[in-house]
Amino acid sequence: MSELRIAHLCKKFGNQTVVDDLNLVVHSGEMVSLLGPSGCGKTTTLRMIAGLEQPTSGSITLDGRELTTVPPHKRNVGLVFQNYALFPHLNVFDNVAFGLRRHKVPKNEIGPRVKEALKTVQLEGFEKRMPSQLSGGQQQRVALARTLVLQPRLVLFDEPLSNLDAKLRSQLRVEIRKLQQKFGFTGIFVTHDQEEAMVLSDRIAVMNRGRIAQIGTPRQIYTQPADPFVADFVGESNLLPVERVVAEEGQWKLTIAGGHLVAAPRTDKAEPPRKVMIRPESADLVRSDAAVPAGHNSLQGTVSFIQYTGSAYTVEVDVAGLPKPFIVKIRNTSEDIGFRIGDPIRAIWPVASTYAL
Amino acid sequence: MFKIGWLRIVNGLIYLYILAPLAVVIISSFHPGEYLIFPPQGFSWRWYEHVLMSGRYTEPFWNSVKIAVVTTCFSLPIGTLAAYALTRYDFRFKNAVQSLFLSPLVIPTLLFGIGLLIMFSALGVKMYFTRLVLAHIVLTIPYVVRTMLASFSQINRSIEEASIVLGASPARTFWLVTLPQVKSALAASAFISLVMSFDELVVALFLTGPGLNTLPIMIYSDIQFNLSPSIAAISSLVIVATLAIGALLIIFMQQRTRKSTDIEDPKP
Amino acid sequence: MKRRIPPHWILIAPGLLVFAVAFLIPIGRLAVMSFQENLPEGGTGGFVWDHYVKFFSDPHYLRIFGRTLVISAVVSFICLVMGYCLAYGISRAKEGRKLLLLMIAAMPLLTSATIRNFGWIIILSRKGLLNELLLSVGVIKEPLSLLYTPTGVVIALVHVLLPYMVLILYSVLEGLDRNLESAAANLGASRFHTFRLVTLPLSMPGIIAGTLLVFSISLSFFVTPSLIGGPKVQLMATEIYNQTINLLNWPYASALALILLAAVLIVTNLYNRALSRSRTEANPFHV
Repeated sequence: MSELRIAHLCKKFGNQTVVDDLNLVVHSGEMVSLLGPSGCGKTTTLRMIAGLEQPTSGSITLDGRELTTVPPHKRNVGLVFQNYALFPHLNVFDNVAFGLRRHKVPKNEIGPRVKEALKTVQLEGFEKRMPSQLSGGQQQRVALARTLVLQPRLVLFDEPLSNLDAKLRSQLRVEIRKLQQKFGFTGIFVTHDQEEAMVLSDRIAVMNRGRIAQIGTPRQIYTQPADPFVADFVGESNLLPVERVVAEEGQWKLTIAGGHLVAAPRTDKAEPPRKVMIRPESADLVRSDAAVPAGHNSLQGTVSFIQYTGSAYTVEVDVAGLPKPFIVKIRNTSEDIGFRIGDPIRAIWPVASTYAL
Repeated sequence: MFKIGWLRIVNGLIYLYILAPLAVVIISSFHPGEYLIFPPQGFSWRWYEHVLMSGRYTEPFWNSVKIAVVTTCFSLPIGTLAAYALTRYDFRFKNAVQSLFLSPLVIPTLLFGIGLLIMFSALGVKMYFTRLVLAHIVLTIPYVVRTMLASFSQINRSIEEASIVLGASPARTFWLVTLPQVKSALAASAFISLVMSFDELVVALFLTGPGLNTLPIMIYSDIQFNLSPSIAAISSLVIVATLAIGALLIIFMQQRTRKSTDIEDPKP
Repeated sequence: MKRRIPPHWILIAPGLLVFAVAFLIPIGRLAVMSFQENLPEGGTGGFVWDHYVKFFSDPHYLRIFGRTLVISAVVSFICLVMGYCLAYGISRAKEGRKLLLLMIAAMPLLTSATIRNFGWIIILSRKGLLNELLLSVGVIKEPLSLLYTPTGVVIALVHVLLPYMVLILYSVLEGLDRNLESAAANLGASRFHTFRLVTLPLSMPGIIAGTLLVFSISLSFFVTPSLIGGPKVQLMATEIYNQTINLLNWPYASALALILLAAVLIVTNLYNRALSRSRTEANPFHV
């Protein structure tokens, strides 16, 4: 069992509160991402779990054992760094064996375990190489092997893929997830890349200004953001300001900026919604004189920008009264898109895909 | 580009000026006659033989070596640990402590000489060797601290953090991970410390007593009272030896320069 | 990890101990002694201002102090001019040559001052290299008396301190953005104007720092005045030695030493201010 409990964790640097009353439970074998913009406190939180920073107040327990009083070199928590942090003066073998030697693993066991670890990250045969001779991806794999060879119950990842190019990143994040599922350790993954978080995690904790804004499965975070910050941070979204609210049976009738009427399903929140969120990919574009199908909302406007990104078109539509253009993402079919910049157009989307915040 | 033309000539002359005294010393060491004459009339190894055989400079030489080595054995670790503390930790009085450790660089060595003489005399301490070593330790620590400060501040902290997380205590981390990164700087610091101590004259003049002569003191007094080409010979030996060791050190350091701290390069 | 004694104190403790014993206490003792009466039968007496009064009221000692200041100023100036030429030349040299040239300029630092001054004695004496050279070329009719004169001291002292100036100026010049000079040229400035209006002002902090450093070291330098100047050129350093070792007037020597220290500290303070100004002004180079 390797359950991590964080309770009322606070960290202040001088007058600045970087982590503000953080509470989190990570279940055994779970992979949780800490997702948020720079400065939100996610890396500081991770370093406090590792013991590289001391909390101002609060507690961190692993399987009931209080960590904050344990010195970092005795916590037995794995940490994978953004810049790999391989020891430049040691070869790959000695890098991976480093932790084993510190834990006084018998000499005859070290060799086989290192070999096994390198095999897991597909770097067999690299034992004698020096870090300077390795590519970024290879270095990160060695760092992984170095951490996993110790069989830690908790592994922390500090944006380990940020220094790699896009293709390597998507490759390695899948490998990391597979390793985590195979070995079953509890993992905490810090990142500012929400796609990464969604691919890797069982749950995502979205952080903002030292606090957790929302925690949930990737699907929950994406489809039911708790507030405008989460909605805006995770995935693309259209956030429309609400001016008047009429409550009806089972749905809101909302008047948004520019006087347009939008219907949204009722939520359980006590306060009336102030913003409406529509994901660009839930919307579609039709001719401005086309009929609006039942159960759909619509907005009339003019095409102002078209982006072609290979698998999709991202279209910006200027709508009267709206501060920002309305964004619609439509999948690329082999046919021509059918409109150009400056054409009048109508955007439609299901009422069910309208999310009131 | 006309400016560069006359600048080259001027700089050439300046280089001559820089090298002149050293060249002159070495050249006049080969003079076969009794008195120090320049230019030498003839060529002879006589004075080198004299210096190496006569034993006049032998004891001072070994005294200087011993003092330099013992001094460095203390100033290197003390200075290195202090520099590490100044780099890694923030604490009150940090700036004051750093200034303190670097201050012997600006304080006239003369003051050390007298101050230490007064203090040791008042205490009745006559251990000439020990008190000179103590003085030299203070004089050489600033060089060690300065060099190691620059070197430690260039180390990527995350490898030390990685080491700690993998189970090495801070002390083990320092020994296993940090120190190997600064080998060149350590060698340079040791070299500077040895040379500074070996060549030091002023404080030695104040603090030595009967029975303890250092090489610089011997040369200094011979220049004043006993001028002969043998001084040139021993001086040349010192010059050549120092430069040779320095050159070896530079070669050694150049070889060790792999881009070992440059671990953030993502290669394709 | 932070419950025990903070690690940094453990690390600097040995250094602090050594410095307390061999640095702070001696200098403190020195300061105390400078106020003690020098008893004719040897030993020291009670608190007096005598030594300081003696220094500031006796023209002999004031002349020594003045001579020291003047020589140091002259040495600093000459070092600056020569050092700037060298540093400029090295920083504009081809990449491969730079390190070599720099090392040759800095190399004298590795040889003891005693030996270097010995070389100057050989060069400057009446039958020495310089005189032989000038006589044979016909520039002078009689050998110059350079040894045991202030001129000789200046020549030798410049040689000793030049490497410091070169190293400081070099690092400043290296840090200058070359694009600035290109921009000046592009805007119509001649090489001379570029130097005067761009390079020189931007290297000013280095000039100040280097000059002050050389000045403060030469104020208290002993070996050169002792060997080259001899008894005929009396400077503060040699006088302090004289009072301590020959006249055994430790209290007076201490007072002299403290006055010298005060002068050096004032200069060093100015040096540190020049340094920090060069860092806070938007300068990309570090002196």
